[in-house]
Amino acid sequence: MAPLWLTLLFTAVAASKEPLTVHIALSQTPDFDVVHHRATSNAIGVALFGAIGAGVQASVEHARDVAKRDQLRPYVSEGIWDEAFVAALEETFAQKGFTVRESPAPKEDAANSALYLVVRPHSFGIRVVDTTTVYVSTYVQFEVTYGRELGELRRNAFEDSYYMTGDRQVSYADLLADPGELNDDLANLLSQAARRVANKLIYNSEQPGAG
Amino acid sequence: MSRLAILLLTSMSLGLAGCAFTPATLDLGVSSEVHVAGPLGDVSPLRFSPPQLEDARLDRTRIGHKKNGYGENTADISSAQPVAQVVETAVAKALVDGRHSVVTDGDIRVSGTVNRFWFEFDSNFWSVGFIGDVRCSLEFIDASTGRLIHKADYSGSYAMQKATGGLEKTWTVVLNKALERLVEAIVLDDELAAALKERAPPTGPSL
Repeated sequence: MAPLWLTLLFTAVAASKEPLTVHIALSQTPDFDVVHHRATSNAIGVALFGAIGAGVQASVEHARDVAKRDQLRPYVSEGIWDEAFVAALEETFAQKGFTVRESPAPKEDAANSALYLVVRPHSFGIRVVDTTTVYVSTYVQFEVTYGRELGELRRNAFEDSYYMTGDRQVSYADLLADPGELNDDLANLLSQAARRVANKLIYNSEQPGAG
Repeated sequence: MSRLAILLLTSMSLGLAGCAFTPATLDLGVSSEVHVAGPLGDVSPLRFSPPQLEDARLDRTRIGHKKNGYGENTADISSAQPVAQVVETAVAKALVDGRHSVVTDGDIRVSGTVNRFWFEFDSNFWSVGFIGDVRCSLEFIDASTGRLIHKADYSGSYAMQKATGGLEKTWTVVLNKALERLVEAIVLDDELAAALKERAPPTGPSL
């Protein structure tokens, strides 16, 4: 997926707070991934063949996950981050009275009340969430950096990491047999994540270190 | 440090350090120093009864497994306090963070189920991942009318990656962070706040 930089300019009055301009950038979005065999890997390879065995086993399990990813990827919209995550961010801010504008990259804002937010997606897709049942679920992992000045942002002054999994847990076989809901499940999770980020930012921006 | 050395340390940490065959009991709970503000705080202060949750997990005997370097389960990880009680305390904290009060005979009952409370090792070749996952279903009920105000599933998850297996302290931190995320999920829920705002005023005590 091509690098995606979005800067959304928000100007509004947060409830009982001074007008706030929020610049949001979403860095390059990751490819859909399936973490199945890598999540259930063990050290048998290294026990038998040392570091070389570990390397071989790692590449084998990665290849098996790639095969699973290729099975499911056709069911996932390429633009899902825009359609779900960014859309939910915009909607949540709009519901709180913010005005949304986009620009190609964060720029220093003359307003005293500027807030800068960068979302760095790490990975998303399907992964084993319970190695006992080997059930899988949708997941998303990303980091958020924010600050009241660009300098703070560049120093990663305030960071927050998010790891969220979907409500539905199924076996991989069941998911593969009926993958029709996969895109909706992922979209719901991304939307939920975006709403949580937006609300946390809006309501806790005076204490950027919170959380 | 070479990757092989890290791997060996990981295996040792998972399989030996911390006594892989000895059950671990974790003292869990959300830190009182963490406060989250959210839409729940936009609602006029309400009086909630202490949350009462049923432990509906499929496996109630443990909250995770210790594992050795081969990924085999070797001993149980459990909570010092009943899991339902730990989650009830977290839910109550969310309500208080939302500037409401939790009192006996409150105007709104909070009931539901704990559906998942699980700690998972994600042992890779070069590092170990720790994942805490807490899920519950909550019902907010008007105590005077019995009307359902809002019903929703909430979850809190947290993941941490380390070069070595870590010990009970690390596992406790991960699960407590997951509980913090559960608190966030409730405090930041727009739909819950909207439902509570629309709550009809009490019609008075029933006879």
